Amino acid sequence: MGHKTEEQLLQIDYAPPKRDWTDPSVDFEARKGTWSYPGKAKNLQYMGFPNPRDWSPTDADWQLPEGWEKIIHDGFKERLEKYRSLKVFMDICVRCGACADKCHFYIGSGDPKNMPVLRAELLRSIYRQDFTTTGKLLGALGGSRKLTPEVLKEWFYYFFQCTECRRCSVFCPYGIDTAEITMLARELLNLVGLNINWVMEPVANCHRTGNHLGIEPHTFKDNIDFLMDELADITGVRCEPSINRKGAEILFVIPSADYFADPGIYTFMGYMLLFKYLDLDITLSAYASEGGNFGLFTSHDTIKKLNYKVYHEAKRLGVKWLIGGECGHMWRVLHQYMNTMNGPVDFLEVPKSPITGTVFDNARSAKIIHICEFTADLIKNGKLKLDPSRNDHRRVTFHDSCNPARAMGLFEEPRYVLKAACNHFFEMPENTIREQTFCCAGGAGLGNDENMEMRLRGGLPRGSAVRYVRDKHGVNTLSCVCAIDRATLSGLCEYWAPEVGVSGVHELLGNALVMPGENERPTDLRGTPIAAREGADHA
Amino acid sequence: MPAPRYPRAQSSRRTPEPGLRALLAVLADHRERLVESWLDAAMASYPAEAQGFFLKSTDPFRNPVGATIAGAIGALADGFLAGADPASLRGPLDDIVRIRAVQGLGPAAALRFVFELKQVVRTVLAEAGCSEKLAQDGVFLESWVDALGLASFELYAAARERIWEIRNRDVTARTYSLLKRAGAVEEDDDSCGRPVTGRRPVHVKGGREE
Repeated sequence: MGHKTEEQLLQIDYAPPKRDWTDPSVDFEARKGTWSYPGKAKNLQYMGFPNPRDWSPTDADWQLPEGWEKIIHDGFKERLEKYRSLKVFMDICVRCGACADKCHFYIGSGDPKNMPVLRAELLRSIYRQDFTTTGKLLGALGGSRKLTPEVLKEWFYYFFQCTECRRCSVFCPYGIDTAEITMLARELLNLVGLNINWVMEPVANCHRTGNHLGIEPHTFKDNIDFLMDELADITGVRCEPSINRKGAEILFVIPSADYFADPGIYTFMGYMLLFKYLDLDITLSAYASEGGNFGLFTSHDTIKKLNYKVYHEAKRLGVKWLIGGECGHMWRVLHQYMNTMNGPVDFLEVPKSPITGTVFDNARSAKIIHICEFTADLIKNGKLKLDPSRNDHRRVTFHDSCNPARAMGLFEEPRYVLKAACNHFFEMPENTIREQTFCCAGGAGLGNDENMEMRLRGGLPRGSAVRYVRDKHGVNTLSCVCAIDRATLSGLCEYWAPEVGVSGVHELLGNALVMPGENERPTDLRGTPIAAREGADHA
Repeated sequence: MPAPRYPRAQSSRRTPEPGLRALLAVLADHRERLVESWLDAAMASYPAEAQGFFLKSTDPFRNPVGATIAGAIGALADGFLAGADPASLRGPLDDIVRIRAVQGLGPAAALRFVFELKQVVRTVLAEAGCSEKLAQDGVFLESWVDALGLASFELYAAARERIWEIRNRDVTARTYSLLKRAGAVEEDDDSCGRPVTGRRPVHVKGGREE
């Protein structure tokens, strides 16, 4: 080593060493906070999933089953034959880069393997090696890689770092749905027992009790009674929702977080006030007690199984049609998969509002409408008496939840409800809402707390937009129509846009809805004093 | 889209010595070069593929990492050139540190950019043929960077602690109504006095206060 001058010694290169993308190694120990705990053996056993065992990603040996290479290869082959879309997505990408800077995880981290194109390439490289002649002949030169345990570890890391939000697919000129690539990659990982507990436990619970939290019917009822007591204290109105009532006109299906978690419970109170106001012939079910379907993050068979429970219950109760609550991915399942999995739903009727007579032709196939569609129609027809000043202490913006926005095009209805229920509504910047909305970074099973650093990293784009409207318009409420959003955006705002709270749309509707026989209502549903009554200014 | 805006940095109450004024004047003449070099140094901790993206777009919503860091480095540089008290620059400093605290960089790599200002200044002065000014007035640079570095430690630790607070609150929020029914939580008395803030502060009985 030659002599270096003082100036040369001071020129230290701090840049991280360049890495070839084909190198699959991931240091899980060093990257704690960016991956999720693996599925517990008991949950895999309950679902009959292969290779149940207790393990950790930091283990050197992931205890893959005997013949895992063949299991993955055969599973890949089967899916390429079964899903033409997968074959097309593997072949058609020209690596134009349109998707590269659209993923919230890439935008927040700069990790090249969070670019949707490169994330897909992790799978595509194995596809080339195993299923294409050029890939076999050209090897690494043609972008092929051999399947090794390290590649599986890399798949586990990066395919459980995609929230299946589909923002990238909005920009793909070929229409490649990278969320579907993630879904299929996760299916393959499941074949050898690689999955995460935040997905597997809700799946197993939902399969057993009908909801992610594993709540049994008596607890379901007790908890709803408890919430109705609280609601009566606040409003003076006693709501007595029916549960498992046969012969009701409508079955109402909601995410379990709405009757258990903060702040979802206030949205639940809003639903109940609305139904009481309308004297609607509607029932909840302690069995179809989950709108969410974590099968979407597991495998197509699991989606089908969990989705079927809801329709089976609709049949058992003899309802005519369904309303779905403020849930996110539930709507992707219903709009994009349900009909070919468990449809056609020929034992139900096309939803028709008993209040306005509106027929929801858009739901002719699945026979379920979003509660925002139902409520927007009521408002449009002048059926609700609202006092938006009761939300004057809130300056509201709306986060388009990925699945209702991009999978069903639900843009206007929630805004219509919010603008009727609140006097102060402000949009976030155009390139962060509607079909371009940024994910909460906690969807697709990633909303657990051990993955918090990754969630906050991926939550930066949404957080920046929230902070912008907070600073510009004094926004203090981020409203949304998804239970996962309500849970994860709360933490996201605490970090990126402090002092902004999260609420459901029907919580704000419940605040504004003038109920016959109600109390003076000095507070909103959270017990926060209503500014208009207090004569106070907004926050 | 507007980049994050910061209040104009205030000069410290003590008027800089004439020599220091001259040093800062030379650097102010090369502000663009100073900011560009400092930004490049900050960006060097990211993978090469990402640096281009972070530096390319100034839209704070398309590229919040790049736009925020660029805006904040500019504000810090202006503060330095104005001889401002580093304590008055916590806003832009926090914007950078908060991002880097969740990017898996580790504390040293996350905060290295603060200390790299020393090398950036040396380089800019050398290019301007004024290296001798640093020999006379380098103490200001040393102590200014040290003060900014100490402030960045505090902000980094606060950001990391906030992550754990959010994790704690997540766990409580998830089963909030169960805990409440079991009488296991107490509402914070103050929470009702505030119109709308983040999550309701909750104390889990028998646990550490959040």
